[in-house]
Amino acid sequence: MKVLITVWNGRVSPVFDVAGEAEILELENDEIISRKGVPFPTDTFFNRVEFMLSEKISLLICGAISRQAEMTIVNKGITVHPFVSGDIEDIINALSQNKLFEMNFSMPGCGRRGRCQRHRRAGFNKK
Amino acid sequence: MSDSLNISYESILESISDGVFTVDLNWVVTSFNRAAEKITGISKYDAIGRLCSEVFKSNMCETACALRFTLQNGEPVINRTGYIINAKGDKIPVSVSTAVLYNDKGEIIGGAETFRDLSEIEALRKELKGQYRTGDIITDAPCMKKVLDLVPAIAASSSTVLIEGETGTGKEVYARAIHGMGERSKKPFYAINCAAFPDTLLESELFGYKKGAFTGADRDKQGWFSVASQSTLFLDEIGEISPQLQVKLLRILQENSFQPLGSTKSEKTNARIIAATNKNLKKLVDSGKFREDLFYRINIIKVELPPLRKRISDIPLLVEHFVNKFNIRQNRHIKGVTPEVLSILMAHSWAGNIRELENVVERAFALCSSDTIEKDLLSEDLLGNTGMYAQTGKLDAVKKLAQVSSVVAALKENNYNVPQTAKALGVHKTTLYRIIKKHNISVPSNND
Repeated sequence: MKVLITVWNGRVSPVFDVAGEAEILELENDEIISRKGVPFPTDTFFNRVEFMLSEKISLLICGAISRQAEMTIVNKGITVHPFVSGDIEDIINALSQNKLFEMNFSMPGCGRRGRCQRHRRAGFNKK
Repeated sequence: MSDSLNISYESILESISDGVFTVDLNWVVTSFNRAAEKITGISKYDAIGRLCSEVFKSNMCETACALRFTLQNGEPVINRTGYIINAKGDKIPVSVSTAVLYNDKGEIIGGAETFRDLSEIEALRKELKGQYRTGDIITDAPCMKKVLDLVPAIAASSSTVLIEGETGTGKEVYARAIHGMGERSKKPFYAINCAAFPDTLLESELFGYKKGAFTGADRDKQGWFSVASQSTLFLDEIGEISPQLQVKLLRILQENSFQPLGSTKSEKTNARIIAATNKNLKKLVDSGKFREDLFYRINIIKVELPPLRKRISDIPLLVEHFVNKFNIRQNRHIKGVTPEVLSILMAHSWAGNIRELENVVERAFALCSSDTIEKDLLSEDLLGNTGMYAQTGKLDAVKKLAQVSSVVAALKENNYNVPQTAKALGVHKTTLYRIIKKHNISVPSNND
């Protein structure tokens, strides 16, 4: 599974729609087998989606994302885990321990059962 | 004295309608007023102690943070515009202003940011300028999601587009969204209704004419193909144009050139053509009323907009949108419609689609003297068409009606093939089976 996390200042970037950097991780049996930092296209939303598809991303972890953008990405077959905040290393550790969904990395106002969490989509095996 | 001053400051902050928050030098939120809570949808309790970028969630945070500029340069920023994303995923346009905070010794201890919700102004601006993006299309229906998903790809190409859809389904709004996302978005969007002009007049409108081309042509006139040469030209009701004009239109689409009336020279155009019709163009071709070669030239990218009866779940969203719109326009504060009204609206067949719904809401809005639109403000023809769920007037029933109607319509459209229907609706087939079972929807057993 390939995961893309939008990054800014060592944390998950606050807004997906304008994020300029990303980390791409490849996980196999919960183990990170590769990791790379990449510039994330900022010119058009369409190019962002194309970039993720070309990288064969199956899970996007990001901060705030507009509903329209999220809907389009989900319709392209990418699971979106939005409104996440926190240090990128903590997020990656949680992901590799399969505890991302157990630990609370929600943005303010998006508690575990908060409104923002309704955007989480089925399709990602959280075990 | 100091305590009373603090209390006064806090009272002032709480009373103003602009959102205000303050941060320390580590970008941690130290105060958050009531308006800020309202605009962002985040409580003071959740905001204080968190990083401002993760609370404010603005497109400005990463590259154009007004507070960072102010703290680095000691200069305020006044009315910088951008947007924030609230907890629902809505983009809210805002303008922000910033100032430095000092302590008693004159040392910088942080910054303050005030922000104003520009949603109403932005809505009016868009309406006046007719600029729309996909986010402006009010929908949550799976059938519309599929259609909206196409917009970025269509916008990125320059191919001719054909939009088919019943009257009032939002063909022009969709065309504007394509224009708004494409590279021509900074140029004006030109729309012309082909059915609104007699044939000869339409020809001169589209192609222009030279002085002396006909009686009364006392000067040269540019046609729309020339005016929109670097932009987008929306040809509504394309199925209504005459066979003679169809030939000329075919030439434009094939050669990107046209000849104004009375001219001996051809002119080039690079206009991006988006055509629309409320008819089935293929059927018009079959019946000999529309040229087959022109049809194939137009039908490069075809989009079919679903009628409102196939996206009943959008009716509550659309009603809310129209009530907000009329509130802004008429400076009123109507909260919305009662669940009973909503259920009646959802039981209606909407032959005129979204335009008809807007007119119904506008009528009820105009007649409404309280803060909520009640059943008695609806016209007789709507009240005479209430279904079983409409009678109950309960929100659960309204939701059930919306879900059942959408599923039944999708099942019919996909010949009761459940996996195919699930795909069309954008849900897993197990979910669809559960909905079918829950609402006891009849599905012929030989189909799976």
